Amino acid sequence: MKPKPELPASGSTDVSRPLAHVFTAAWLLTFVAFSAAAWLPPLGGRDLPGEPLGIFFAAASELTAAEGPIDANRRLESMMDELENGLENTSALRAATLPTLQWLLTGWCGVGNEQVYVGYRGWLFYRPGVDYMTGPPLLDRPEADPRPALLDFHQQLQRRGIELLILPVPSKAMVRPERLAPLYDGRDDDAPPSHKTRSHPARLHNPSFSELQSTLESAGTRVFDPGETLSRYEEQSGENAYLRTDSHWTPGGIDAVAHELATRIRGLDLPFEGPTQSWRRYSGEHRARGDLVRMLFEPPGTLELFPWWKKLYPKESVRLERLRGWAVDQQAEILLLGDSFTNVFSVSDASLPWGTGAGLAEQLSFHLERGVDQIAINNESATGVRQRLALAGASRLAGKKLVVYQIAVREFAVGDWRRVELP
Amino acid sequence: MVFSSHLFCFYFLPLALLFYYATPARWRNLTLTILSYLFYGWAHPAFVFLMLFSTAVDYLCGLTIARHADGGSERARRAALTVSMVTNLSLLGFFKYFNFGIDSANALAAALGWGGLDVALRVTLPLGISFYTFQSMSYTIDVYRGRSAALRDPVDFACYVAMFPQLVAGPILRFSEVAEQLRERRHGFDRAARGAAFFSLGMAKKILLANPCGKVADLCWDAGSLHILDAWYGAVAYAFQIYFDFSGYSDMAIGLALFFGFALPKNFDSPYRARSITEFWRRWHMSLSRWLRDYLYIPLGGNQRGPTRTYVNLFAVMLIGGLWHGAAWTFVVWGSFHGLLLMAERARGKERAYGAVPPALRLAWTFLLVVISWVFFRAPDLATALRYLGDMIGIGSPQGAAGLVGEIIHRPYYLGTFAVAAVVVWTAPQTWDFSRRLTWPKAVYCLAVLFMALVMMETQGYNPFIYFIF
Repeated sequence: MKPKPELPASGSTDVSRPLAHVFTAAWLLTFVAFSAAAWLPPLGGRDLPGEPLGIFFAAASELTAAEGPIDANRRLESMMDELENGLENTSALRAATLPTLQWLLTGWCGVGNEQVYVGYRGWLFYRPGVDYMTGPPLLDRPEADPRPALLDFHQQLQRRGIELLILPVPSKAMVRPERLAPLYDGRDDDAPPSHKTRSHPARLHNPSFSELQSTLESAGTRVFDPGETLSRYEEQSGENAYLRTDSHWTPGGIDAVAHELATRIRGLDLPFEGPTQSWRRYSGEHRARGDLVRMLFEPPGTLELFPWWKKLYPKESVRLERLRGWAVDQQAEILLLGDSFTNVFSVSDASLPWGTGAGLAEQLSFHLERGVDQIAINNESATGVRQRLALAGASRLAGKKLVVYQIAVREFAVGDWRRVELP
Repeated sequence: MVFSSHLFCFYFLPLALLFYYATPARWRNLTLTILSYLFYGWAHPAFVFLMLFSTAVDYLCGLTIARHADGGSERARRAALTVSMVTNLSLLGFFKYFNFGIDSANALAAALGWGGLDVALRVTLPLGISFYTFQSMSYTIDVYRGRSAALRDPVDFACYVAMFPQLVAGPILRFSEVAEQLRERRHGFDRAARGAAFFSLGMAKKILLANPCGKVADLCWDAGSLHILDAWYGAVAYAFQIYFDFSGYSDMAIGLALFFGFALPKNFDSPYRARSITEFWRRWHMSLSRWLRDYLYIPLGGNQRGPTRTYVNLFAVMLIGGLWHGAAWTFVVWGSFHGLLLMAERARGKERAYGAVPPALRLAWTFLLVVISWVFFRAPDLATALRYLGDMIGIGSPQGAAGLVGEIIHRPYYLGTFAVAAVVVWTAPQTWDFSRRLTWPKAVYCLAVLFMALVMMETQGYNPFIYFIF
């Protein structure tokens, strides 16, 4: 059979000789220039790209110690991955261009990045929190269903005579969606909540949440969804329940939830044996820039070199109500498990620069007039925090009457929920 | 390693060009082969051996077939061809369809109330296996048919299979297209200039158009429910994304190949300007269409055995083409959908009634059908595809948060990029035509978009191409 004509080939072009030379040279120089720019003296004290290359070659020399070809392959894959990430992260070019470009995209075009959605009037939103709400029913994926792990945890606690109360903390957009999308309920957003006359839109949740809650409550687990409390706090106080540029709630939001939580705990009529305690609170101002700004603004550590970012997202000021003389009480009858929503305003580190002494455990102690034990690990409320509890040994649960399990609600959709055997 | 990555653009490419041109001409195929294996092995080093194995088998089979040509043992020739095809199809079948087979069998067993297969093994799909196995098979088939002479030099053959510009996502090369070029090829500034234009425009398509359209598509597909207009917005955004992503990759591949002296064939011909599905498949992924036509459709009889057999052949080819893209029922539906459309167009023939429809309407109708088919292509499973289609025709029930998704995707940046993408799709010249004659303004334009794309690339995370997963 006669072969069909071949597809047209790309080899021929009509181009003048000088243009061909200049264009090709300019094209090659572009790549060389970009490559060289990646090696410019580091900005902000960052490492040179030579660092990851050095690590790569050092690791290569250790390949001979691999336990067989599969292990060697795995090590090689890991080395290559680290090298590629290292070269990108240490690139001075990236350090120079990314903040400026992201500033343009964020400030002029309202576009975030893989982790952050840009709202209006300076509001930022953590993407997984929004995706939890807008995404498909989380229970449609049986392999990621959080219920077996939670129900098992409840049963293990019950065998020890301990009650469980789950506190799913909503994401920012669930409480005030119009800050992400002002046309959502047809009104401009920037007026304080108390100046608005509106009825709340139906609280936004993942479509599976009510089924999840119903399953847990049917099994005897208590669930306190603080969304209404946070909305009511905003309406009545005129203050924000969430930080503008951070994924977490404000001290006022925490206090409102802690107050309501304490009321509910008292309503459980648990046989607490220990004496009540009271603490005095003292106020103090604290200023910081939220974690969402840092997520937008990569590479980290170069914020000081790009002052226009500070104007776009200035530091926020919060009023902390710190408890004088409070400390985590491992002998307390109430244990609070949680994540960064528990740690914020309680512990301070690079990811939570919001001061100490005024977190959820502290405010709960204040309103309950009882000490509170606490285990909280950022981003680990699904399984990690229960694993830490298990590692702490049986003595940590001795004498406990109640476990309050604070979970960032997005973890129901994205968390790795596994059974953990308690000692 | 992907073309649109920091590592490739600023480390691998400059070094590859340096090593290649520093190598004496007679060793350049070896250098290119080594560079290609390094490129391929970057993601999964172990799969280099798989490709080496496939290459070795086809090389030896090609020699065997050639040795027994002209009066030799026809049995040996057939056996060698069979070994080549069985080896390649077995590799493809195992790595691509093992998980799908187990999952489908278990789903069927569960539906029937039986126990499922307890198989813990999950197979990782090697990058580009669908491409290089097809390419390799075409070599042995062409040698068997006498269309090409077998390659004696193993390095040359390894270079043909592994050539990194087209290794992981095509164009799928016919051996005859590069046979001469493996022996002797021209390097020149005119080729390099055209290569630079191709690469620049391909990179711009990927970074500046495909990725933002992909953000919109991802937001829509990740949403639990959508309003009707947003569902269409997301579907068309995906149509733009896959076109610019894949054609952008092809442009970059063609451009890179030119730098190494290889002239590759055209792979896209403005497919969304097609006025029928038949025409669409002459414009979309042309190297695959050609492969399926020459190695599947025509051997099955093509259109030479009557209308019924023609329809069956068309449907079978598209069904297999769908499965080639992915091991999932959504790809089966996608391929079948196109098969049915091709059958319908064949049956309709050149009716005057359809011919009288204005071209713009025919184009719109074709695009509409293609967009609907992409819903199955994009969806992770059939349930999601059907749910999405339901949103597109307004029978879905948008949840409260659907309005939020709409607000996010209607940001000016996304709408603006979408509009630019639409203009480029339907009015801009193709890279192929644009670069056929280069002028100073065109060169400046290419450099400008390359610069913008390289800078934007630094803001984006991992940037894989859609067709890398096939």
